[in-house]
Amino acid sequence: MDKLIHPAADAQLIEGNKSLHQVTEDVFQPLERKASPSWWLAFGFASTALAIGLISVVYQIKVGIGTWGLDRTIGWAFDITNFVFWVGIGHAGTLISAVLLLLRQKWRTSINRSAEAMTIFAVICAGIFPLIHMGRPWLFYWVFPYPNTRGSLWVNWRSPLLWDVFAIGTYFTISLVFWYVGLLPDLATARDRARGIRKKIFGFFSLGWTGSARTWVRYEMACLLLAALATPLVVSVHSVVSTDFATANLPGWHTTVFPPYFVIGAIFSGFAMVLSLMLIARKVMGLQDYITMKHISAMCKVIVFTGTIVGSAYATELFMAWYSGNPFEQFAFNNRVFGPMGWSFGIMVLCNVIVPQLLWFKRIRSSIRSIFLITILVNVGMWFERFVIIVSSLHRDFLPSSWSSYRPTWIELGTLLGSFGLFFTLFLLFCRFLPMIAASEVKSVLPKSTACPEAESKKEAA
Amino acid sequence: MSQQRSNDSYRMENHLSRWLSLLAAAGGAVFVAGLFFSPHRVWGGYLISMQLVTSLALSGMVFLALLYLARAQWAAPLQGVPEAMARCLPLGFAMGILLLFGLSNLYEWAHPAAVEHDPLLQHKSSFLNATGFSVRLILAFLLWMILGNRLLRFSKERGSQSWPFEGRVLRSSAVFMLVFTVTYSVTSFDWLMSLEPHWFSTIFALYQLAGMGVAGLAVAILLALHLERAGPLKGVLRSEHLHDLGKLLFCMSLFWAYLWYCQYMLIWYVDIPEETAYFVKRQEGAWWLVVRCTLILKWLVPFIVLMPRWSCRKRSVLSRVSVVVLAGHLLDLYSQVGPSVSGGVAIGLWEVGPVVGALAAFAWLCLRHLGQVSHASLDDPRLAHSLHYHTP
Repeated sequence: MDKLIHPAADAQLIEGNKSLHQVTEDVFQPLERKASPSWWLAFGFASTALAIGLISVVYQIKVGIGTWGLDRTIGWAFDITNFVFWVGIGHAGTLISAVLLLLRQKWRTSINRSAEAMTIFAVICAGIFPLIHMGRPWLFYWVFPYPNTRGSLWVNWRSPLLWDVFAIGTYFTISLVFWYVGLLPDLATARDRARGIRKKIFGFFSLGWTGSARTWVRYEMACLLLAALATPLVVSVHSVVSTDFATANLPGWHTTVFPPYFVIGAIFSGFAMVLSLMLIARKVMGLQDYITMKHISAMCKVIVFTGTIVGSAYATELFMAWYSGNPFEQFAFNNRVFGPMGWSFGIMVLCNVIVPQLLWFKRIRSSIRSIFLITILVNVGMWFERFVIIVSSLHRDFLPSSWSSYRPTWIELGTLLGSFGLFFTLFLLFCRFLPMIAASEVKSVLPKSTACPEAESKKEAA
Repeated sequence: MSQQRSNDSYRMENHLSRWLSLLAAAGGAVFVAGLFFSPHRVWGGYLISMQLVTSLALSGMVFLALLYLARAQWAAPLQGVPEAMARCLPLGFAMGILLLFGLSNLYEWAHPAAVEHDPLLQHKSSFLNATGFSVRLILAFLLWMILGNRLLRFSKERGSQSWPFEGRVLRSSAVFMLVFTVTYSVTSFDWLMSLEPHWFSTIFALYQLAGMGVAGLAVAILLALHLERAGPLKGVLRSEHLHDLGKLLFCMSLFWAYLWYCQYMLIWYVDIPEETAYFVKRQEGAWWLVVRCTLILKWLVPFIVLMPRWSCRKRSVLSRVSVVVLAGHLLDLYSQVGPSVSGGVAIGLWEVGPVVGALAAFAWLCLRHLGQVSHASLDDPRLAHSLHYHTP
């Protein structure tokens, strides 16, 4: 019978031969003791960045968005770049929790909780930029179609910007619900371990979880249904975001491959961000047994896979620009590569296409330091991808008399820094107050757990 | 020697073999007759069948490479199906070589007179010319067959105990996928997009890829069900496998529809004449109906029917949906090829003949190959998982 056991079947996802109790201790103890100095240090940096961002935002709302480096040719630059960048970052979490759940990838259990948290925080960061760009953010509710007293003033259903409102709103809602539902059993564990006011708070949010068989059955069905609902959203959000550009009659923006290409780029950048944060978090929070080299290697493979697709999309775009024979297309791409903004194209190709190819090699995939460096470069590259698409397509207008150049102001840089500050502040708070690892799900992939058929058949064989 | 189960091997029944070879011969005869009576239309049908057969064989290779790369265990007993499909690639190659003799009947850019008066075609002529087309076609097929054969070689070791997941298998699969992505993109521009030489769309290669996935999965499902009826997979093919295959078909069909919508919507929205010309042609007259039917058969039917859990697990439902989807795929190819070769909608002997013949030849070859590979070998270390796993 022994040969019926597949070599990978008993591969351990969690190291250290943990008992069920040990998992609970490892996950929940960090919430119950005082924060470490390294956490405070990180929190100090993050909240300082957030404060700088807040000051910049208040200043630009008070003075107006004339404080940005825009002009009549370049009407969109930093704000929309940051918006698309953050929406993209928000793609890994739901992919990991929903798509990998449907694909029965059990390694996701160690990382899904924090990846989903990052999704939610990234979408929050993204949402800020259109809000600021409105100039009068207190009128934000005008983007919703509701019967109003402003006469014929109605939202434009044909505008992709309105589609954005719905796509991102839906995505945020479903991601939040999915994340919260997934948290329930762990919130209940935190409740059972806590005393005093903490017990009350965790008790309120665990919605009276009892842990009975019936509760679990319903919980698992709910997760499955939410996963099926969330999966199309992983594709739809960035497809809609891409139509912000692709529906414009502008060379460099209007190209049919944009929706799938944006989605794959978003997954690419999202995984890179999740991986860079995980590499820090596992070290700082001492979770090396849970987020193992196996998890890291799997994420590296997703990055090299998506990065290669992104590279082939760049190549297709360049080829089509030539093939089309359209002088405007050809000029736009020629300018993108060799024009005054060509340096940003160079950074984009280097970071997104060339550098990730290193991950084909096992030696690189087992070196934490190189992986960290690569993921940071991918993040830089993906930010520049949006910058390249947006600014390099705009700055050479159809009329040479309107040609212009772009340089971000300190206010814009401060806002970008602030969005990172907000992201990290929220993430650090999450690490501090909520279980970072889905303990209940991790327990189901422990080799000791009988929920795993491979483990069962192994026992029989023994 | 790998241990074999008693009913492991498959043999094509004689009457089936007879019928298939008869149909293939009839298709060939129609094609030859068409060369004299209606060369444009019959070459159009021929291009569709060549693209179909090649895509089906390639989808088998891609399926195989992805199973290896993902270290998938669920499909272990079904692996013979994509392997048999992949082994039919030489048929596609032979048809591709023959296609080179019909270029002037299909492609506007193959007429020097047309190119002479068209600055756009002149611009493209360094890419769209008979020599380049032939070199790229032959090179692509050679690469697919060389790299694909390296993948297929592992099937002999599949039953052995030391079945390697790492190393050679993963490397060969990854290299195949990389080369395939680039070459398939280029051939899709060559074979199909250049039928409308003034038109271009960056999503086109991906769109063909999704179509290939839909058709390949549909055929794989039909073959797996046939193997179950005929013996080798009896008692091995579980509802879980069908459920997973059904979900994959559902997903690919949805992905295809998504790409169709992206392409159509963006071109409709921006409304540039050089881009809309493609769709305007396909909305005139009866083409309107063909495109609608494509969407219904290739997307709407599987989307609605395969949504519930039970229908994926029901053999009769799954096999019927697969047939419907295949029909949708054929219509999709026809709506891409037809408007530039025959003008109006004309589905007659010249279109149906080559397609039926090629499909029959493909089926005959594929079933032959199915008899030569082992199914559900007990020595396959992945079999245990495949026979036990659950799909929620």
